Amino acid sequence: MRPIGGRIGRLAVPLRVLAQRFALLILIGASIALMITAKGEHWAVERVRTTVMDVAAPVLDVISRPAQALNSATERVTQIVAVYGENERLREENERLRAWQSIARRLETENAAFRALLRARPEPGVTYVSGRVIGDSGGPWVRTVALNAGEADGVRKGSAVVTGDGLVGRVVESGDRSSRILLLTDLNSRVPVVVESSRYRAILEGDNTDTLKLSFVIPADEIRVGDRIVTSGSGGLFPAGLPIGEVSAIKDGTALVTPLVRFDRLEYVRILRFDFPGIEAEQTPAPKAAR
Amino acid sequence: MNPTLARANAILRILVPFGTLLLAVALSGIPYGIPFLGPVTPFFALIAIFYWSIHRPEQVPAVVIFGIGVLQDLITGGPPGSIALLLLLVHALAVSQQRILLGQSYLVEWAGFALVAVGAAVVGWLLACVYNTALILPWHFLVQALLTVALYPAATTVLTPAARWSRAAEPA
Repeated sequence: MRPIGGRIGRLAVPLRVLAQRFALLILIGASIALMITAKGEHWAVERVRTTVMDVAAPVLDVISRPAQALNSATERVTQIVAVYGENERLREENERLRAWQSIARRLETENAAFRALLRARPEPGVTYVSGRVIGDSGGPWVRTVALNAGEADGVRKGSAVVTGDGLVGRVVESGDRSSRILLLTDLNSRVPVVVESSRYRAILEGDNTDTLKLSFVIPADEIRVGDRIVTSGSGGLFPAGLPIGEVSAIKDGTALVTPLVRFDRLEYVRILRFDFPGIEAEQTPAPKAAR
Repeated sequence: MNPTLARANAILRILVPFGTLLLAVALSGIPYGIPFLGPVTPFFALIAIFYWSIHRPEQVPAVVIFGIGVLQDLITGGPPGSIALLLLLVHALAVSQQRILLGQSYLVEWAGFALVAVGAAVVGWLLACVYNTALILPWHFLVQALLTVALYPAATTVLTPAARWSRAAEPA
């Protein structure tokens, strides 16, 4: 019996190695197949992703807190060091803002009077929900962040996400208790924008770097360094006038925009609930016919 | 020791590599806000896969690596399959070089990991370019690789005792 067992044992080892190699090849093939399937933005991939994120969100929420606490502490120390200069800067800014406040009040009154004269339709109301950043893209493949707020909190796919500084991106996936935001800097981000002063329309594109590119600007030679870029509101996804950034350079005829938001310091964000009348009407299912 | 407790203890020890892989995925998915590095975070799963593939390859079967890679893809928002593919390639490479690296000094193992990490960054960058049909700048991939290589000694100070504890579960 022993020699037979030994022979089987001797045979089993190379067979096991062969099976392992075969499994490895199959799994490498499966990884490639999965990538190709996901490229087609299959609904099942999105469903699995949101379900996994809903399960992982509480864990990420807990383990991200020490890192964020450390970041906040570092930020606070930096602020204490720069407190005198910052105070001076804020004093000057306050004076400037007071001047702007009086102008804004006058324009608001004027605007209301003109709207009443024209019987203009009021702008749709914007409400928001807040969320904390609990997950990062973790690598250079994509520029996304995960939030601890989902559909149960009122987050909807496509909503604009902002901080006090400006636009961050939009919701691309929303689970029950978590959501994923595609940042403006992602390669797949496209936002309809307008140059604030001249009102020229353009599309703002991300390219996985820290700067954004303006494309489809007409006329291209009218863009100047320092021009502020805001959302145009075209397409109805984002409210008009959300600040995004400033033109920082023009290279080979392409305007580069530096975003106002510091993406490496994102902590709390606001998800806008923008009820654009046209889109709301399309999304609302038609009432069932009475039986 | 109570036989049930002893059994539970043995199972726990066997699950140690899997546990460290799960921890690595979770740690790779949280925001660190490292100044000047933008969204780049260390690739902890790469360290764990390389380490276990060298020291305990039988405890990290390919199917587990595939699952861990897909999990990281789903949590970090990357294309599902991309991290899984990289981890499987690193595992295959590490296992093939196991006899050369095992028993060498720690510096040789670290240098071996550095080569694998940079290689994985290059493959990852090429994959990202093909996947997006665009020329993406490679710097973030290389910075991530260098950051991961720099953290290898810190990570192995946790993995080495974990491997020792896990090994104690094996019958003599």
